[in-house]
Order: sequence, then C-alpha cells, then structure tokens
Amino acid sequence: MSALEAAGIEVRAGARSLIAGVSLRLQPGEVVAVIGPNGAGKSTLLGALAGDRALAAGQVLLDGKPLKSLTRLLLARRRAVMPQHSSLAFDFTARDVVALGLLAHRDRLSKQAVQAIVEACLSETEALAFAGRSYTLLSGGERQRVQLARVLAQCDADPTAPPMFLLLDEPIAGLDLAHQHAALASACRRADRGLGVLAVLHDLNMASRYADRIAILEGGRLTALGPTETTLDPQRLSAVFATPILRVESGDAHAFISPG
Amino acid sequence: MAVSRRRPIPLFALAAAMSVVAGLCIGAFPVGIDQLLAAVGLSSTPLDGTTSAVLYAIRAPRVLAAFCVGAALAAGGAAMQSLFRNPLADPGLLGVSGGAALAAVSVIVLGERVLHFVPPEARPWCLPAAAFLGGLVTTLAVYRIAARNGEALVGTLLLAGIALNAIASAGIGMLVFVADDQQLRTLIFWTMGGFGGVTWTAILPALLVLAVSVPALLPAAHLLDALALGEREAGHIGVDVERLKRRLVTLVALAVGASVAISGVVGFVGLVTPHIVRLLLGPAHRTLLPAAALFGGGFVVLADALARTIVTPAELPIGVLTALVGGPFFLWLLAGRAARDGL
Repeated sequence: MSALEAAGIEVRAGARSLIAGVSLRLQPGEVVAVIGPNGAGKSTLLGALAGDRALAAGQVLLDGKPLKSLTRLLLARRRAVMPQHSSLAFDFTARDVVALGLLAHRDRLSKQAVQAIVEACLSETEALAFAGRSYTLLSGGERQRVQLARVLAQCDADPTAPPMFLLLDEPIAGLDLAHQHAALASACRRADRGLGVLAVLHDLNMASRYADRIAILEGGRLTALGPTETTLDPQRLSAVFATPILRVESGDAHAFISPG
Repeated sequence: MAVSRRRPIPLFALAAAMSVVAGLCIGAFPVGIDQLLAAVGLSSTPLDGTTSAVLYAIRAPRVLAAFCVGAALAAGGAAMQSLFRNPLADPGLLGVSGGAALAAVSVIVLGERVLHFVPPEARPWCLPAAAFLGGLVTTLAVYRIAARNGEALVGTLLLAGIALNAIASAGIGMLVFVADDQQLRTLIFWTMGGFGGVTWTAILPALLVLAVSVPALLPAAHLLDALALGEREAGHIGVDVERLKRRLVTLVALAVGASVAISGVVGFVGLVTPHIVRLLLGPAHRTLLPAAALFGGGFVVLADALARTIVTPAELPIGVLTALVGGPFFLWLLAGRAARDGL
C-alpha cells in the first residue's frame, strides 16, 4: 500500500525541538488537515514530509523507502508542495510559473500535452484571465491561485504513475471565500482520484467541511489524529486554541464559532 | 520551461553578424566590404598584402576575442543573476572579475619567478587557469557572504562586491610595486580592460575555455527558470539545486575567468545585456542565454571598434566605454528598485 509516512520524527532548530515524536501516515485517497495554534510546528511537519527538513530522529518514508534515498526528480514525480509564501525573482508570466510545475515530466510530455495541462489547471483555479500577465504584478490572492495551479499541474502530469501526495501549507490564506472553497474542492477532487492530500489549515470550518482526518499539533507534539467528525470536538478545540469555541448546528450543516 | 512563442534568436544572430562585419571593417586602417568578401573568398576583388595582414593578424583575432568575451560576460551575468535570484548581480560589480584579474595579474608579474616548473608550451594556459581560480574563489566567497537560504539580498550582495573589489585592487596595487615598466603597462590595461595587442597565440587557450563553458550553460536553461521560484521550490519540482549551483558557479567562473584572461576587466556587460534582453524577450533562459550572448558579443565588438577609433592613433580602454554606458544604466536600475521596494 502506497503511503507518505512520518515515523517518530523530530526536527530541531539549533538546540530547540520544533516537532518531536510525530508519526503520521498519509494515504492515497484521503485529505488530512493539520490544525493547531501558531508556532505549533505545522509548517515544520509539512516541510519534513516534503523532504526539506533534516531530521534529528525518526524518518519520513514514501512507499516504505526513506525520502533521502530518492532523487529530487523521482520525488517531484510523487509529491507536490505548495509553500506558504512564494516570491518570484524574474518577470515570468503566470502561465510560465504553472508550466514549471511540469519540469519533472518535460522529457515525457509533448508541448501540446504541457499546454493542455497548464490551461486546465489555470482554468480550475480561475486564473486564466491573468495567465498572460507578469506574476510579480499580480495580487496576493491571484499569486496564490497561480501557485495552486502549479502544484495541481504537477499532480496531474502523469495519471498512470503511482499515487501522488499533495502537501499544501495554508493554501487558502489570502483567498476570498469562493476561492477558498474552490481551492479545497480541487484538492478533494485529487483525493477522489487517488492522491493523498495534507493541508495546513487555520479555518476550522474549512477543515471540518473538506478533511477526512484531522491532525492537531500543539507545541510540536501530535496530540490528536482521527476522523474529522470526532476529532473536531468543541471542548478539545477550546483547550487547544485557548479560546472558547462552540459548535453550532444549522439543519444538516454545522459550524464552529468562536464568541471570544 | 517557459511557454514561449517567439523565436527571435535568428534576428539576434543577424545583428551580431553585422556588428562583427562592422568590427572587421572599422579602424585606423579602414577595410572595405568588397575587400572583406575577397578575404573570405566570396569576391574576386584583388586583395593587397597589407589589407590581408591587417585582417588576419590583427583585426580577426581582436574581433573574435571581443565577441567571445562579450558573449561570455553576458551569458555569465544572466546565469549569475539566476543563481543569486537577483537581477543586479554582475561579475564586475560582485568582484568576480576583480578576483580573476588579481590572479591573472599575479601570473603576469610573478610568473617569471614562480612558474619555472611549467613547461613552456603550457605557459599560455597558466593565465586563464589562474583567472578561473580567482573567479571561482570570489564567486564562492560572494555566495557564502551574501546568500541566505539561497536568496541574495541586494544590499549584502553589493557590499560584498565592494569589499572583494577593494581587496582585489589592493592586491593589484601591491603588485604594481614589484612590476617592471613593461609589466606596469600591462597592469593598467588589465584593470581597465581592452583588446589592444590581442594575438592568436595569446588568446587561443582562453577562447577554447569560452567555447566550452558558455554553450554548456544552455542545457541548464530550464533549471535556471526553476530557480526563479526559489531554491526550495525548485527542489520541490525536481531540480537538484546543490548540483545545479556547483555547475553554475564553475561555468560562470570559467567564462568570467577566461574573459578576464583575454581582455582584463570589462565591466557592466554582464549587467546591462541580460537586462535589456529580458525587457525585449522575457525572462525564459532558453531564449535569454543565447540572445544575451549574441547581444553581448555584438555590443563589445562595437564598443571595441569605437574604443580604437575615437582617439586614433591612441586607444581608449574599452572598460571606460562600457562603464560609461553601464554606470548610468546601473544607477537607473537601482533608483527604480529603491523607489519600488526600498532595496
């Protein structure tokens, strides 16, 4: 069974431990949301799963093989990463940026195939309207949608390959509500096609609406990991975020509110 | 792998060819187009001995050297800007040319005393080899000092360049005291740059280095594009960033070192050329690298033609001319950036 797995990992910055003893197995077909207060180690965990972080203990395994044993190229064909902030050094167009997502497949894909994937992903994130504009001139939310299209393109490059894993670090921060839903719906569609998705989220309602499982990080420790319905318990959330959080039912739907 | 629709390289090649023809014809001893055609066997006009000698022995090596140096500095500058993720990186400003010049000048001044063990036939290689090592050391030094997480801050980058240039000129200044008169004249030529006195035998080793190192940048074009996203992001999409950086630093040091070995320090070509080409064609390196190389080559050939004609019978150091164009251009770029994001 394919999986991207953190096995008892610890990441240090100098003498300080950023995350420790974290074990998490991301499987194809599921969406896992990582939630927790600022500084809990969410991005660090995502970075470790991406292969960016040196591990002080434990290991990260892709299909049972340590990430370190895989080349950058092979890894790029199995997992895509959307970082929290993305700058661009030169005035590439949005379309060029999305095409870069297919770099690991450039020997295999024809020019037409590249264009088809790029256009489809731009259209999926509603970025076609500014696809020809310089990335550096776009607004924050527009850039975010271009970066999302880039990682979606990387995921869609080879449907016959073993399942991809998509790692998203606060993918909806800075997006308007409609695009927040659209972005997470895109991620869920990929999960339905057999990809494993892990997203760092701050919005509990979005996590509740789109995630299959919830991972809660507090002070570098994984304190809860389980099905969304049972893990997003108002009492637990109030404790984790040190602020009262209520669950409000409205017909079939529910929402979390923080009356402060 | 930018989705580029324009194919402007033939246009740039044509312009470069025209500047080469102009470079061959212009000079204290003017050569007509018909004589040039006769020299390459395309016209039946009789060719007199003087014209032939001027073309083959003086003008041709000089124009070829100018073209190759311009191409190498421009392509090297473009690669360097990608490596530093910063459009203000330039081999001259960052001290890389200065480091290469110091090493080369050391060979000129101290070579007689130190290089006894080198067989005479390998002597011409010592100069480009030393310039390469000098360029390599300074490139690594700038990168170590200025790059944090693969991103170079403009301020640190330029300050590091100032410091390294100061060290290089101090070193060259020390060598001035041990140099004899003949060497002294060479030293001045080195720090200002120029193609005076270029001969086939003197430039051949460095030209060979350029013929290998500059085209070797081209296959990395799509990887240079990826670096624009950031080093970490480039890694995520499949680029072995550490390997790419080693490759870039080596090739840039080879290209800049060999250029300095031929002509001394010719400033600003590596800054101005890629910038203009980016404005014209966009930042995709698959077009940027060859177009910048052609543009830079043509630019230096024309600048050299100007340098040897405007004050005949004397010659202006070409570095003076490129700085005259490049200095204000650089200030204009700096002012734009300062206004936009406070540097």
